[in-house]
Amino acid sequence: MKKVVALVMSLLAVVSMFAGCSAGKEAVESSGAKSVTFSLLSSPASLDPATTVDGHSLMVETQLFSMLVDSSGGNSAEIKPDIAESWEISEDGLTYTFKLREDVYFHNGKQLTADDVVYTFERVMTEPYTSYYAVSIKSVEATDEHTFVAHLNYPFADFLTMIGGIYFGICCEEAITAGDDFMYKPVGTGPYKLEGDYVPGQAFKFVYNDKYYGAEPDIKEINFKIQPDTNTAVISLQNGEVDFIPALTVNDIETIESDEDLALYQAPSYTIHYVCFNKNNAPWNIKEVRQAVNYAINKQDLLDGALNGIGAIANAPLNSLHLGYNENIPFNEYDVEAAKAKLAEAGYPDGFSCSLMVNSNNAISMKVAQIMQNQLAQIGIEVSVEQLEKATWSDNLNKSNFEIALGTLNWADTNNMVTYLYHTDGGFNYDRVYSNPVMDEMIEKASQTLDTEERVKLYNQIVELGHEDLPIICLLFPNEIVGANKNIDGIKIVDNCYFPVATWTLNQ
Amino acid sequence: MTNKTAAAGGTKKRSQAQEVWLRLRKNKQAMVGLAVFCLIVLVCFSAPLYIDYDAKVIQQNISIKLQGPSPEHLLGTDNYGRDTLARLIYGGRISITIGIATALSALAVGGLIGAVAGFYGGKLDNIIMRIMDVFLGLPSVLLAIAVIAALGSSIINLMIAVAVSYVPIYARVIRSSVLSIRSKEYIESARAVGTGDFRIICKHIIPNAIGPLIVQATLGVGEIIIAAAGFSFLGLGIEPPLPEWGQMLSEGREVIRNMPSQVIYPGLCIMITVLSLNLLGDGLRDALDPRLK
Amino acid sequence: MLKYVSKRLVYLIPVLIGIVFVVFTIMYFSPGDPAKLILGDRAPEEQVEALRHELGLDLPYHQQLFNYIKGAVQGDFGDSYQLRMPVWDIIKLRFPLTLQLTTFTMLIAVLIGVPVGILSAVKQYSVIDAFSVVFALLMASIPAFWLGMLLMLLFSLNLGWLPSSGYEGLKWLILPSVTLGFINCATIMRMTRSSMLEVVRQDFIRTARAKGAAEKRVIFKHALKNAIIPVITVVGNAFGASLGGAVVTETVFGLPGMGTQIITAIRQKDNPVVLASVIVIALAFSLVNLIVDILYTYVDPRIRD
Repeated sequence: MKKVVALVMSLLAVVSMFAGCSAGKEAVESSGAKSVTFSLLSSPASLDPATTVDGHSLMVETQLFSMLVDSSGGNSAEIKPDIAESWEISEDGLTYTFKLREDVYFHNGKQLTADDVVYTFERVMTEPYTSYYAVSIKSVEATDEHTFVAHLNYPFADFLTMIGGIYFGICCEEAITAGDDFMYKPVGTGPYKLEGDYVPGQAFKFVYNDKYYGAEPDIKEINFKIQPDTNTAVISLQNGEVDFIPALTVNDIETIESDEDLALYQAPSYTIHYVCFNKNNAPWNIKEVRQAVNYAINKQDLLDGALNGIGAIANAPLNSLHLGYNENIPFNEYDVEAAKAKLAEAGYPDGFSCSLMVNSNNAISMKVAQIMQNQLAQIGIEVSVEQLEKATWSDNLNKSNFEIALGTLNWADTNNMVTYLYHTDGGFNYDRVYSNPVMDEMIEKASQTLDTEERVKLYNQIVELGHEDLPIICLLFPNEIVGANKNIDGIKIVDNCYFPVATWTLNQ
Repeated sequence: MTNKTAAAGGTKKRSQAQEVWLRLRKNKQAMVGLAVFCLIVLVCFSAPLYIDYDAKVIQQNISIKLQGPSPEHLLGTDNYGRDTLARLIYGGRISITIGIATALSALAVGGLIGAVAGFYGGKLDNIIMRIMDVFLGLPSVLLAIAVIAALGSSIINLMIAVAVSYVPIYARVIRSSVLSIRSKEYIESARAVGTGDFRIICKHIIPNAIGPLIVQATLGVGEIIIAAAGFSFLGLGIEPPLPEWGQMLSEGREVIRNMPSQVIYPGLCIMITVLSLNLLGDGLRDALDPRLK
Repeated sequence: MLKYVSKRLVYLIPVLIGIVFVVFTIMYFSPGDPAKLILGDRAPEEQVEALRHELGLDLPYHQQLFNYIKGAVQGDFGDSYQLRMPVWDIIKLRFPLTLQLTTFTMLIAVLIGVPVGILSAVKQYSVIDAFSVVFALLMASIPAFWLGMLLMLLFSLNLGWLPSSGYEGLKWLILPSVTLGFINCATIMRMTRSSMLEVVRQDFIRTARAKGAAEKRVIFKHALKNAIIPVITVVGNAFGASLGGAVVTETVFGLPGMGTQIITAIRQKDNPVVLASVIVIALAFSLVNLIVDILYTYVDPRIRD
């Protein structure tokens, strides 16, 4: 018996030694500086803006990098100087010349020159993660130490907004070419820098970058914690383990509001939930069938059921924040009789059965699917909900291997939104069937129109044509919901990926 | 698990069964478990007689979502305005069916594999058990996600996903009890009169190894109901609008603070059902073991 | 003994190859394109194609499998697609946490399960017996995430004693280990009870009692020693199972262990990580079983042959 005990004890000792040496990272000692703890649903895949695809990475990179201009992380048409103190646009709108600040230093102490900017832009143009954002750029050059010039392929109205996006965060050329692992050892010019190592999956920490050229932030330290379960995150917010949760659900609102130490922030989002049809096959190639579905969907019920009534009904792919949003477009056309009539007109008076493909990792889509299933049953369309893992779901979408599907899309600028959904070559025009030359022409024209009023007019026409052709049905825009400790001031929701901690203050 | 005692039963099957029943009847806990389980099965499976499925279980009414108890809805309504009580009762049909059907199919496959391995022994045994080791070594979540990613999520796929990870466990149990039966005299005598292998397995080995099988099955049903709930938690549940306890539990998690009853009711249903099965299984184990008189 | 151990280790090789084969096949044929998942929806098709080529994903199935096994034999298990670092670096970070969690879990389960099991066997049919049996079965009847949430609401939110999630030290492992420990203690308790009952009735115990040995001594010196073997089996099995199966608990408590690692990797089709994780878990599982078998021989030298 003693031998057994001894054996077990020595095993335990080995285990704890093994564990202790590599994973036993004790809590970081507080240095007394003002700090906040940021909750992330999942670990950022990369801290390098040019190799990033997920929102968690963007949120984190926002703290580390700064861009030529400040457009609220690529979300606003209102442009302020940042690294570039001034800029000139040529008459034809094809050449942008930026005068760079001379007091900008990277986290590693190196001074920023126009060469770093050129390097950064060229990287964005060639990296597969980001090249999409740079299609309008023809070439870039440094005409002297602190002058940077960008040449465009065509006049692009949103150019400045775009390069204010985090993908264009200026990186240190030397740090990347030195072969150091830039993904996990980022070197930028932003207000914070990484302290210690970044290890995917584990908590990490940013501290104030004392070489930062802008105003010194009130909060000197940001701790990041990975909390895959929102329920858990809310409990941590309540007991003070974290100070900020960027992505809450409508079900958390009550809890946050009823806790007097916490503050709740809400704003309309840029994320649309929509239904797409595989128009390669009958019956979805028949417009009347799609119209029937549109009539059968009670969007108010979707909003109430999936989002507790919080958010907005989508009349078009544009929410109230998007340029060209028009509230006069009919949105809730719920009319069961009209739906039945359309179905009969299309030759399906008794309905039919079909499958609705949904990403099972998206809780809102899952609810929308259940409610739609019930609504379509009223007009005789028997829907089976096919819940698939995200990878499978997106694979099927890309291969047009579905009947109808629920999708989501997030773009702050109107042009990308309509291009993705309505343009023949649009990335989310999944069935590759919807193609209307008038639509394509209008979208292309809008992207090159510099006059805002003119653009809005075009967007209105695009949205109306989209509603007429009905390649997709727009459903909902959920709200962005953020929960935070009440003693943080200055939190603003611009986009769910853009929370610059440097603009916050902490009252202790 | 050791079931070395289970082989003790002789060829007098009928009297053994009666004896087991007599012993089981003396065990109060087991009888309570049996009674509760029978009651649950009765209530759930006779549901079509007194609840209209289309009108109460799947018809949504968003305007009355997440309401508390009322005379029309004794346990309130869920997120889609459906009657929670009706869904719990119909949910039991599906949860219990999943539990029983999965356990039985895993037992059938695992039992057959284990019996063949144990009966023939030698190289075949070695090969079969190494293959079972392969499956035992694979995390059940991997298997489940793989099955569901490939086939989509539905009741059948969920059942396959769970069953796959139980097959090697059952195969091991059966193999060990077959090993101890194999050397018994009545097998030798059956062999001596030229009975075929398949016949021996079906007529002699399986009936005599059935004791531990039954115990495993009653305990397995409970485990599987819980495992299925875990898969719902990971978003790998059954397809809507079917009600299932695990699915209801994980859907209710979102409103755990505003409407805790949405989590408590299905949780309690799972707990009571599994508890009754465990009490019964435990009692059966004792009753089947003649040394524990 | 050495011969026995080496024989067991040799047996492990075909099993591991089988596991690699099965997992590789599953990952190969399950839908989803790793290259597309790495680069995101917005990447141009040519570049996705180029990455596919770079990762060798455009090769036929048998060649990919062959390449993987060839690499693995030389100790090269590849880089993670998503994290772009060697998979061993990832596992080195994650596995210790899982090992710790599992160890504490089993410790709690044994510390509750064995004494309660003994007590309820010694006092069979007493109130204590009935109570502990029902308690154990109750614990075995609760879904892990439900129990985890309830414990978290109580100890982190209402009492504020323990942190709710993440991992910054041993304190962070208390709630998850207790959750899993409670659930696992049921089987251990029941096994202890029934094997104690079995042993207590055997002749040598009666003899010991008849010779007037003190009850405590009878129980601990004679009965427990003989009853412990099946208990060790159960502990070994549960230990092995929870090495790879704590996904739900890890998710609820935000622990960066092997379970969440595997599920994330499967969802992102990060095949090298999935394969390596499964190999490590299977190895650990087999080693635990081997240790269990060696433990037998210590407890009962008769088994050695």
